[in-house]
Amino acid sequence: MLKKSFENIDQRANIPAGIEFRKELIWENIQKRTRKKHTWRWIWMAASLSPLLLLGIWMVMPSQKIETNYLLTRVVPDNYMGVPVYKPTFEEKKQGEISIVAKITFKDSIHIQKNNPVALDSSEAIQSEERSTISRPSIVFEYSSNEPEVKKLSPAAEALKNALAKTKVEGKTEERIVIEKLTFEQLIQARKHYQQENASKHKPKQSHEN
Amino acid sequence: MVRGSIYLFRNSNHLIQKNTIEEAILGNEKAQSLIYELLAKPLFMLCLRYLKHQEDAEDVFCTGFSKLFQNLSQFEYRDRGSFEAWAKKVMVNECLMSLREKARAPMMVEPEEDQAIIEWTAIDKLSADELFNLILLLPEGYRTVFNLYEIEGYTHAEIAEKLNINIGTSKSQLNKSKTYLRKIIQKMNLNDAKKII
Repeated sequence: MLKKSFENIDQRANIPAGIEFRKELIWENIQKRTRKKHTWRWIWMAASLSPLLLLGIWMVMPSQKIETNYLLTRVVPDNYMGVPVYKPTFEEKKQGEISIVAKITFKDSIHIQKNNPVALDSSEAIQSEERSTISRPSIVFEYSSNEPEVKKLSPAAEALKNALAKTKVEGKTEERIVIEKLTFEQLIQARKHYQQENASKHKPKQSHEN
Repeated sequence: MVRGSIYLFRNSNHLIQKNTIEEAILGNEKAQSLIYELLAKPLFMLCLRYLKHQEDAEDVFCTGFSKLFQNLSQFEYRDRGSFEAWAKKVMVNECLMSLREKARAPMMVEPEEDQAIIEWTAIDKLSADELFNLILLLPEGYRTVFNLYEIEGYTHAEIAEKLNINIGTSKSQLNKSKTYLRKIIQKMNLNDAKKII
């Protein structure tokens, strides 16, 4: 019964006297609050994401620092440290065919050590008649030596050989000086023993002499 | 889109359309402003019904409306008028929270007095403004239960849950509020309702 009388009372009734509804002012406040909340939300989001971002950077970072002074690539002049310089020359053979012959020149060859110079018995440059797929002639050096070929043993035979070599122990005798602290009695006995041994050593000689 | 909605509102008893709500969710200020325009007055009156004082009502109204826009995405549109009901619910909860924070909802317990002296037919004769002022005259505890039961339409169980009281207390508070209203009307001479204001 009462509910009917009070139905939609908020819409039907006017604002009571003495009460002012500052509609525009309140609306401004509401808008400010919503904007503030939005900015705070962004700040919180950024703050919560920054540790993750830092962790990610840390994970990606290399474990060792690359020094800025350390050059991975160094550009050097041609004759640096006696490095052989290849100067290709181009020779025109026919129309459209170009052969490249590399002439090797050594500069400052004094620095290059010649430990075991290889003596070539016969060396001749053979220019292949076949057309290369690279479309340039290749130079092949034939190498032959008079040294007899050493027969290589099989791995099992090699192992056996090594094992046999190990078994050959040289019979070296080692002399060791043993120092022992003796009692007076032992000393006398030892002396006696030594004298006896000495005597026994000299006796046969005397007998032979005799 | 929003301008079209304005036309619709004026032709459908100020009900907010679904597309306006969708626009407001996306952050369209015009749509939000439209919602405010339509709901500001009834919702402010609601706050005033619970809190009586202008400053308190304004504070709660401002907070409530901000929450309304923030939680707009949570609202599920069912039919016409569902948004208004939802907004009302949000605002009622905000009012109750404010009362709870200020510990200003004491359940008034008064000795039993003679009831039903005046017939409720007198209330039917009163205008909306007079009725609103009558509600404002009620003590806070009575007013809260009266508002929740008679105007918002909550059950005693719901009121008990919201106010953290017993169902019996809610019932007795409502009875007492009605008796109080009758008394006021009697004192002010019910035949001359204008005296109430």
